[in-house]
Amino acid sequence: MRSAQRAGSSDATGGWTVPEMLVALCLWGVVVALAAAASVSGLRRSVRQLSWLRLMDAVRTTDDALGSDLRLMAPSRDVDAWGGDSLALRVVRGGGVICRVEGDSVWVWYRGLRAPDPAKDSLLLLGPGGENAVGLDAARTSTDDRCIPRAGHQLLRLTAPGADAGVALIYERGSYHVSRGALRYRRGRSGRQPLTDSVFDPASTFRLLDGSGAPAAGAADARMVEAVLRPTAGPATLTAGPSVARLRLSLLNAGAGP
Amino acid sequence: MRSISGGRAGAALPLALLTVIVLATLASAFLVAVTDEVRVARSRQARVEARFRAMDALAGALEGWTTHENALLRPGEERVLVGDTAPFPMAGETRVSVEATAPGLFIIRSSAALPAWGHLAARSRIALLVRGIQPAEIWAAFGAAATADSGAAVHVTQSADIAGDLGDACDSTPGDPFNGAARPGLAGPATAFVVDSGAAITGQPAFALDTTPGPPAAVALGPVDSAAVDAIADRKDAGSFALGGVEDGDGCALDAPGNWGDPADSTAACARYFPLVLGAGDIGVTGGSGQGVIVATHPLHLEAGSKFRGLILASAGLSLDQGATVEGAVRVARGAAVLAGTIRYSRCAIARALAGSGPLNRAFRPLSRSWVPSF
Repeated sequence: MRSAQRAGSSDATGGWTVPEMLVALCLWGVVVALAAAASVSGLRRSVRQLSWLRLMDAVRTTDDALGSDLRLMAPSRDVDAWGGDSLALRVVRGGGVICRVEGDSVWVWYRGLRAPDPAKDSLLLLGPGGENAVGLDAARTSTDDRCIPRAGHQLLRLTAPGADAGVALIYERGSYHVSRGALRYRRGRSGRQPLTDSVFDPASTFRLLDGSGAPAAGAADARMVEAVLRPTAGPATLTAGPSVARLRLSLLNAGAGP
Repeated sequence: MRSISGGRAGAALPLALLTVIVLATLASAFLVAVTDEVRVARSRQARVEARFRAMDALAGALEGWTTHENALLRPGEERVLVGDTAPFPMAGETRVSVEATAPGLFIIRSSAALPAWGHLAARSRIALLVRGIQPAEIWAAFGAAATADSGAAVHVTQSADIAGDLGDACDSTPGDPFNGAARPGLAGPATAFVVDSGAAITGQPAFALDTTPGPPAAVALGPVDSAAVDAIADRKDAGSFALGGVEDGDGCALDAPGNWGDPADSTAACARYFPLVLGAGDIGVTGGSGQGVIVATHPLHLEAGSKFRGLILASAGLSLDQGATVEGAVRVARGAAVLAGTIRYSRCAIARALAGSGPLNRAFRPLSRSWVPSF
């Protein structure tokens, strides 16, 4: 009996072990395969997502940088050259209301991104009779009781020929480029400094458009600037999102003045 | 048995835990990325909303703008036009102010701030330059942009009385290039004036060719030229008629022929009517009195007995007969001006004509750019 029982028991155990093992292995394999697939898929999605976010971050930075400099420009006077991957223009870096004029000197309550630099900056004077661009000979801080104090501003004495009452804007010559994959800004003749990550294709372009959205015949006809930003081939381009980012920036001063 | 069952449990649990950890990590990373994106999107939305609120406030301020109300601002002086704090759910602050930068040139600043909900806060500032027409810009009794060389001249045929100043005390306008002193009677190049033998110009100052602030710019009032007047004029007149205020049952009959307001009777319904008139054809005023601003792009003839208070801008010839009077100022360009009547510079007449004119009291786009950084 004992041997028969042992034999029976031994048979039963031995008979189910292999199927159990096979089933367990199969289940394990399925679970591992699913987990691996999910992990790989998740990783791939994460990489795409991060790449997409990097691209979107670059697009947003481009929008902010171009928007702040381009929206307020008068294209007929401020755009020097455009086309392809570059846009050369007059970029305002600060300004203020003129509080006093004496000869070639004006006292300005100045506020801006940086202090004026006579070596690189010029002055744009806006008065009742129109606007006048003049060279900036000197800029230094000053005090003058005749100017009404103004919080958060610095009183500067600017020396420039032909200065008159009104508003003074400090500007520099600069250009935006899409080169080596990034949006870059070049101040004067200095190097091109990157403003974004290297995520843009060299085929990205800047265009001036007229009011109907067609390419403008000249800067005077321009009503908006279009930046066509193409992402470089990579994970971001594999997503379902649009393959090209088009930024259209309205030029608020388009058509202004004579 | 123990070893088999122990082996199964030991393999499944770590595997399950590993899978859960990997998936949880991925889910967390994805959640963080999505949350950041949502935060960035909300931040940008708040910035856009703040910008539109600022623009909306500025548009409202422009709609209610009258140059007259801001004319007394000294350069550098600021006046708050709007200062609102909106309750929930439109919570936020809006502020619009105006500052005079130069005579006739104002900067309007508008800012909007949204409250910090969570980590979000947004502020937007915008600034717009606008041009307003101020009395100080009209600084001579008679200004001529014409010259004899160009074939157009001011021809004084008889005794013309052109007075530089009536001495009325309306003008406290900042930016006055004469700082309250008497204005010149005549302004313009000397070659523009031809005085016949036997004719004379009288008045005080009699013949002051003072071009201190520069020659008058043709017949334009800053950015307002005859083309702009064509779009905004209160009335367009041509033909021959006598001036006089005309009333109907509803008050001043604005469209009545010859109704250029009523300067003679301060209690009349048309006493406060200062029309901006475009001379759409030849105009001959046979008599009566009127006020306002006339922009004549065709010949204008004021016959004896005609009296006008305000500003005349003539770009195609002006005849002022003996016995015709203008109190205010006159500017001519192109076409000969034949003067025999009286022109007296009046600060009050110019100020009232500009302040009472709806179309000229508004904000205009300046000759330079309008939108400037909000420094």
